[in-house]
Order: sequence, then structure tokens, then C-alpha cells
Amino acid sequence: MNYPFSTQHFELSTRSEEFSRRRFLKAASTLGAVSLAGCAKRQPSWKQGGYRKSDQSRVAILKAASYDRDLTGVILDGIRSFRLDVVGKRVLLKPNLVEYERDTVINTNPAVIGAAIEAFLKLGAKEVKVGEGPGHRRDTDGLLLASGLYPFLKDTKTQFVDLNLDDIRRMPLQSNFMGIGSLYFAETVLQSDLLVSMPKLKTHHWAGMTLSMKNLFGIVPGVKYGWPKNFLHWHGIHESIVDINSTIRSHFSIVDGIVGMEGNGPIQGTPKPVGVLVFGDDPVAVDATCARVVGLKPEGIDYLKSASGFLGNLNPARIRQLGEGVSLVVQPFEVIESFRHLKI
Amino acid sequence: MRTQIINFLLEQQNSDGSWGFSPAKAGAIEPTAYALMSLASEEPGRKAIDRGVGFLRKTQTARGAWAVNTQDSEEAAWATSLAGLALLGFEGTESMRTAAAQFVVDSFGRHPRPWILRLADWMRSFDASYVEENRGGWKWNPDTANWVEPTSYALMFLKKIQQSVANPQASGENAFKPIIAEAELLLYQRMCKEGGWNYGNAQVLGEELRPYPLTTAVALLALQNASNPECQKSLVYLQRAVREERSALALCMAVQCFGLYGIPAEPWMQAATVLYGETQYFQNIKTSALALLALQSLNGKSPFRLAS
Repeated sequence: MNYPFSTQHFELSTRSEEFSRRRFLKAASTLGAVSLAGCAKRQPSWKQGGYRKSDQSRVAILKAASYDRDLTGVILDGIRSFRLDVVGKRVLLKPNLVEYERDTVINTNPAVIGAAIEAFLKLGAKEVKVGEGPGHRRDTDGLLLASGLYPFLKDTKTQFVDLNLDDIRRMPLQSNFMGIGSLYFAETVLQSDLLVSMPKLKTHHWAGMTLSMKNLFGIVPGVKYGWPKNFLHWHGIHESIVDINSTIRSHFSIVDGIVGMEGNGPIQGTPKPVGVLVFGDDPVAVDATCARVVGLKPEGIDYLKSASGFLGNLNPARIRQLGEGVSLVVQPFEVIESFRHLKI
Repeated sequence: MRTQIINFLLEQQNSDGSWGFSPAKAGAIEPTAYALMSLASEEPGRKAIDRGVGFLRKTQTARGAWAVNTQDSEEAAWATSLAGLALLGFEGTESMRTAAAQFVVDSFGRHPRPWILRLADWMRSFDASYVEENRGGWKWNPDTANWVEPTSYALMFLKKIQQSVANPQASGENAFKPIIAEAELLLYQRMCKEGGWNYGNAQVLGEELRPYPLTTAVALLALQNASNPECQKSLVYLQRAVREERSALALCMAVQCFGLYGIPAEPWMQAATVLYGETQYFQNIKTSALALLALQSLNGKSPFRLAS
């Protein structure tokens, strides 16, 4: 069963005392715009199975000044504050591993990934794997070595799965923003019990910000969609992000905001220390909180706005803040010209 | 390392004759094509080759194409180019290759554009001084943009198949010429400022993009034009970049490339060998097959070599 967007987002007041001429014209133009948009493009919608929004979400911001600290302890605290059921679960950590350039902060720091492996094992996970399908690099072997992730995997005997080269399975999409009905996903993702999105806190020159939700581009297999996954871009980055996240649930997010990236992210931006790790079990709420931490309005980011209709909470009144308050850790990020309007 | 890799490839062949990207994975065209190319000149590989070619025969579609793997049914030009390239090494596969080449040619196209821009393109085509920027090439998926890698694979295959027939004029392979010429122009147009290739354009939002060793080696293998200054510039970049390269995949492709351009490649093969000791190439079948091909290229053998 489909729930068209209009029932959620275009509620017109029917109270006669408020129905002025100006309101009538505004309503008429809104309806006109909606109808025109409907003619031009299929009305976005989601299936009942894709609806996951709860009344209240929680997001934890925990301080972590540097990558040399005891990150396992911080991550254990973060996971425990959500009473996440980990025992006996097959956990798949999905970091953001895009590219390696010395003195840049493109990737989720390997120390954070290593600490997360330890934390989930300590909490009783049956197995922990790390999986990523880099957006444009085919030589994932070189990325593992150059980024410094390989020693952490070796020390903990953790399997890395190149999700670009994994077995694949076509899944019906739980929402219809791209208008394509189905998409292939990496089998390892589908086989895991607990998918943990571990993005870097970064700006993105097409999407505004890349966080827990955008990070799931990496579970879409390159072997099917190429390097880069241009197919997704052609169907709309924002639309793709929402459809992927409505179909594949990331159960938990750990955002590496110890040093983030501002400016022309996700690759050519500038390092910006923020000193936090952000945790949560609602990726919309986590990403919205991260946007506020870097001084951006999440409501202005298209995919977050769309996802807030059915996948999670964007409204700060519906996000209970654990750990540090947003105002105590705010570090405004520079953004490129086209995203200046997002600045708070 | 050579024997270990041969044994690894033989052990990892799936029961249907294919290879996956790593052990116990579904058969995919890319690792299967590289495994076949690398085992073609290895004595112990004979039986595996028969089974591998049999797999390609069974999975080729009526239009001459292949999907990327056995879990997909949509035809892919880039996978078809690689399968066709592999089949060039084996007798009795002529009809398969010809059908594959036709599919690859039919998949050639420009960047998709809305009708208004296509109309503008058409109008500008009457201006003799206008330089066409929307060049044709190949895509990862239909109706998306052209990229360096799929364009390079298609170029390698079409150039090789054109050379493999005694009389291209009579057999129709000469029809590839304008397509090859335009796709080569696309690659040159996409070259980065310092030489070499990124994955697509050389610039995004006004920022210069960096080239990568792997894509550069692939593009240079496709162009194989040692007298071209752009290729020379890219070779200079590649020789500089491989010094810090940590990817065995990129190193092995670079070794292939240097071999075809007459540049000594032993140091980079050595670097790839050290990485094998460290990681066993993460059990990646494509990388392992490319390492075997790189070793063979040191002796002058290469399935990518074009007749001069």
C-alpha cells in the first residue's frame, strides 16, 4: 500500500476564519505546483514496510578529542546508551572508505573502525565484518593498505568484504523516489543482522552533507552499477539516498566527527576538528543532529527532508539528546556557494 | 608466486566453469575473462580453459552480450568487451566474438542529453569551426554517462578484433573505425592536466581532478600510441605515481602497460610480489589473474598487445 507524499506534507487548513484570499491564492498555487510536479515526475511515495518513523528518537553526542584516545570505551558507552541488542548478532560495519590522500580526512578513521570492531565483539556479537563498496576506486586493496585500515583488520582477524564485488540480489524498493522499483544490493549486507553505518562527518558538493544515510551508497554494488555508481546520480542523489535507506535499514550509526571535513567535500574539502562521535538508531535524527553540529539547517537538505516524512525524525523537538548538547559542540563548517543557504 | 597463483586460480574455478571475484562467490564475467587470459599460456590451465570458455558459451545472450554475473540478467557492454577480449585467445570462438563485437558497437553512444540540447548540437553541427564536446564512448549502465574504464575495455576489444580478421573490409570490422576514432578522442579529451586519467572528467565544479594509476594504465592500454604526446605525458605521470602505489591491482595493470610501451617494469612487478607476500591479494581472483598476466608480460606476452 502506498502513502503519497501529499497526505503527509500538504495539509491545507479548512478553518474558515483562516481562509483569507491570500491563503486561498497560496493554497491554489501550491496545489497547482503539486499537480504540475505530479505531471512532470511520478509522485514520490513509500510502502508500508518502509515506514519506520517513531514518535521520539535519541541521538548521543560523546566527546572524543583525538584518535589516540580510548575510543573503544567511548564507543561502548555510545552503544550501551541505546541498549542495542548485539548478543549473537552478525554485525556489519559500513565505514566510509572512499579515497586516500595524505593529510586529508576523507575516510572514517581506521582507529574508529578498529574500536568499533572491539566494542561489538566485547558486547557479544557473533561476528563482526567490515564492508564497503568505494564509490569510484576499484583498487580497494590499495585503499585498505594506504588508509591504514588493514592493520586493524589483521589484528582483530576481521574479514573485510568489498561490497562492490560481492554477490548481489535485486530487492524491491520500499519507496519510490527514483521511480525504478528495485535495486541490487550486496549480499553480505542482506545477510547481516545488524548494519552499522559509520560515516565521516563531511560536506558533500552535490548532496550538502554526507552522513549515515548517504554512506549507504556503498552497499550498492559497483559490479552492477559501475565505478562511480553513476546510475544512482542519474536517478537523483537525494532520491537514491532515500530509496536505499527505506529498503535497507541501518540499525545503528556511529559518525566519526573527531575531525570532519568542511568546504568542497567529500574529497577535496578541508579538515575541521569537531571532537565528537555521534551515535543513534534513527539515521535521519543522527544526520539532522550532525548537520546542526556543523551549523547547517537539516531541513534544507533534500534527502533529510524527504526521509523525515517516513524514515525518522528531523524535528529537534522529537530528538532526545544524550551526552553533550548540540550547542556545546557546535563547530560551523564552511560550505561551497551552492549550499550557503543551509547555514544557520 | 607464479605457481601459487596458478594453483589458486585452478582451485577457485566454480563448477559451472566461471570464476567469482573471490572464493565461493557467484561467477562473474570480469574475473572469468582475466582468469582465462592469464591461464591461456599456462600448461596446467588447459582443462580449466575449456570449462571457462564453455561457461561463456552458455551465458552469452542472443544479442551476443553478457550480464556482469550469473545473478544478473541485464546485458552489460563493459563485461561483454572483457569476455570478447578473453575469447580472442581461443579457437572456435569466432562467432561468439563477432556477436559480442556487434553488441559493443551497438552500445556505443554519447552522453544522454535532453531534446533541446540535442537540437542545439544538431544546429551547431553546421558550423565548421565548432568542436564537438559530447563525444561517444561506453557506459557502465545504459542511459548514463561515458566513463574511462568501460570505454577503454571496449576500445581494446574492438581494436584487437579488427586486427584479428584477415580482411576487415570484407568482414565488416572496418565499420568500427569511426567509433574507435571517436572513443579515442573522448579519452584524450578526458585526460587530466598533469597527464593520466581520473574515472570520468578531468574537472568537477571547476576543480581539477587527480589522475589514478589504475585508470591511467587501463586507458593507455586502450590507446597504445607511444608516439602520441598525450600518451607520453600520461606515461610520465604513471611512472611517477606507481612509486607510492599500494594497490596490487593498479601495479599489475601498470606492469602490463609499461611492457607494451617498452618501459622496464620489473621494479613494479617486484612491488606487486611484496604485496602478495603481505596480503595474498586479499584472495581477489581478478587481481591474482592480473598478477599472472603481469608476470607473463615481462616475457613479452600480453593479450592486450596490438600489432604495430
